[in-house]
Amino acid sequence: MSTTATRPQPAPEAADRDSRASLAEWMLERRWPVALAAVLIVFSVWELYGRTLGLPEYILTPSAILASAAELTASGRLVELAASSLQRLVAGFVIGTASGVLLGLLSGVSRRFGDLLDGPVSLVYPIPKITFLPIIAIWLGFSDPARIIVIATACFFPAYLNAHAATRSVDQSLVWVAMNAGAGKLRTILQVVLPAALPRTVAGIRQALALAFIFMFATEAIGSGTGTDAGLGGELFAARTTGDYDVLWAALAAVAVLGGTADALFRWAAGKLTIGQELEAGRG
Amino acid sequence: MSVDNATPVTTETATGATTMDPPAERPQLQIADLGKAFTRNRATVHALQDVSFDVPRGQFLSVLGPSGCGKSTLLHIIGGFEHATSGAVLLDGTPITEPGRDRGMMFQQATLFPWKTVESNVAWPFLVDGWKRDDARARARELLATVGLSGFEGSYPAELSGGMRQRAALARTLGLSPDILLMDEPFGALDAQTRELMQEELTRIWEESGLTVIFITHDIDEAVFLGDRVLVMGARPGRIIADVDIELGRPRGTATKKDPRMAEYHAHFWELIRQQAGQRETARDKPMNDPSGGSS
Repeated sequence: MSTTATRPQPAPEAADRDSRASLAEWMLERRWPVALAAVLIVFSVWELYGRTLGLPEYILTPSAILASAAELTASGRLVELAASSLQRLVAGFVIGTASGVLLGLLSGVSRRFGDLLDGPVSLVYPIPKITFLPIIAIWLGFSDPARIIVIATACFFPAYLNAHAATRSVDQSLVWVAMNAGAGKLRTILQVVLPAALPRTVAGIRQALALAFIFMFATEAIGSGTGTDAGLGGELFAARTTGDYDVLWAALAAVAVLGGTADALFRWAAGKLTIGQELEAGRG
Repeated sequence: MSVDNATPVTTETATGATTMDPPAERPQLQIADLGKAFTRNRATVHALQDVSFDVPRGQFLSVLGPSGCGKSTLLHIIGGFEHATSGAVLLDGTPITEPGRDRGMMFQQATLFPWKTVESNVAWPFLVDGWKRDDARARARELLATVGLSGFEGSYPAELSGGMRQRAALARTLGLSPDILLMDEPFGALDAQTRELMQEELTRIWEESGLTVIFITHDIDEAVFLGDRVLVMGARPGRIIADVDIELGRPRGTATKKDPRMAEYHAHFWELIRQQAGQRETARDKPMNDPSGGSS
């Protein structure tokens, strides 16, 4: 980055251009300012449109959503809802992702195990997982366990499929290097195959995380009441019927913020974990 | 690592079929009637056929051949990574069945673990061997110094140039304390200047170590400059078509490259390869010109 201060006697307008150029450069080098700028632009246009031309009563402006969210947070209601939602999300995500990654790695390492799972997986994969909820609800009702099972099922597939493909595509010569060093099978799997498969596996887990939010919302929307355990999704749909659009939008905003934060944290942690490979791919 | 390679092996007595060898001087590596065939689209392809040669201890053997002549397959079999369909590879009289630290393998692409730093990459085989972490790291730093990579211990492979990656891979391979280095076109992916520097570097390291090296390449000058001896391979089926001792003095360096005999060797090998290519062309044309069919 060039700074104008180090240049000898810059012409005033050139200096101005320079500083603008270096600001743009600074923003492009980091990725978050660009992302933030894009969000701010969308929100400004939305806000401006709402204030000047007006929006229908069921669409709130960003500032009104913020005010509503602040009010609901202050009353503790939003925190309550978010907490019960996140409990289900975390349980479903952890169960689904852990089993998916584990089975995916195993089926990637062992061809026979992979063949065994291949049939069931390709049959169940295309089914919209939300259709399981009413079926499971016959036994368990529209309860937390039923919701968690559906979220877990949804998370399982991207985790499984990516972990499987990642393990299968590990460079043969890396395994040969381990064999050359005299590493045993278990050590080779744990210290070579797994780390080599990590970037793609992590990408699968990230997909699962997004699905966990989607299915958290969806499972709450179906067959739930408005109680404390309704969660953000239940509250949103209840607010729709009662016309409490400020609550509806606050719940929606909460999901967006929680999901976005979770994804950002995940990407940050995953980046730390796979730094060498990120560099290799030119994303360092 | 035996430094004194002039001394004949006297501690072991030769056993088995190789009765024609001088007593007590069994070659370190014996390759006998090696064949490798596989089926592709219902046709049998002979990657290797009747390949036989011996490698005495401490020799730098270049294996020269066009792509597809099975030279990598040959190296993988010696390394124990692939299995031959027929014939045998004997290392100090013992058949090779699996990979081992006595044969250090280097690939065309530096196969460093991208998630580990350079130092951790070189230290890893020591940890596999049960060393303490600190000892492994210290030894890794020594080895990195040997290949001129001091100061890059903490870098990730992605942060190194192609030549530096191969240096690191060489350090890791040397760390196995192998008896034989198996090198599969290790400089093939490097630019011309880096390649020349690496050749000189390898010559220096080899001359100090006294290791046996089998070096695969398709570059004639590289084969001649590095090798005590050059095996030329032909393709389809992969086999040895010439076995030539290189009578250039040692140590070799920049001056060697200007030696007029380099050009003579180059011309000789180029002629062999050209003939080989020509024969293949004729062989391919034959069934069309000759209605009786001819070859199988």
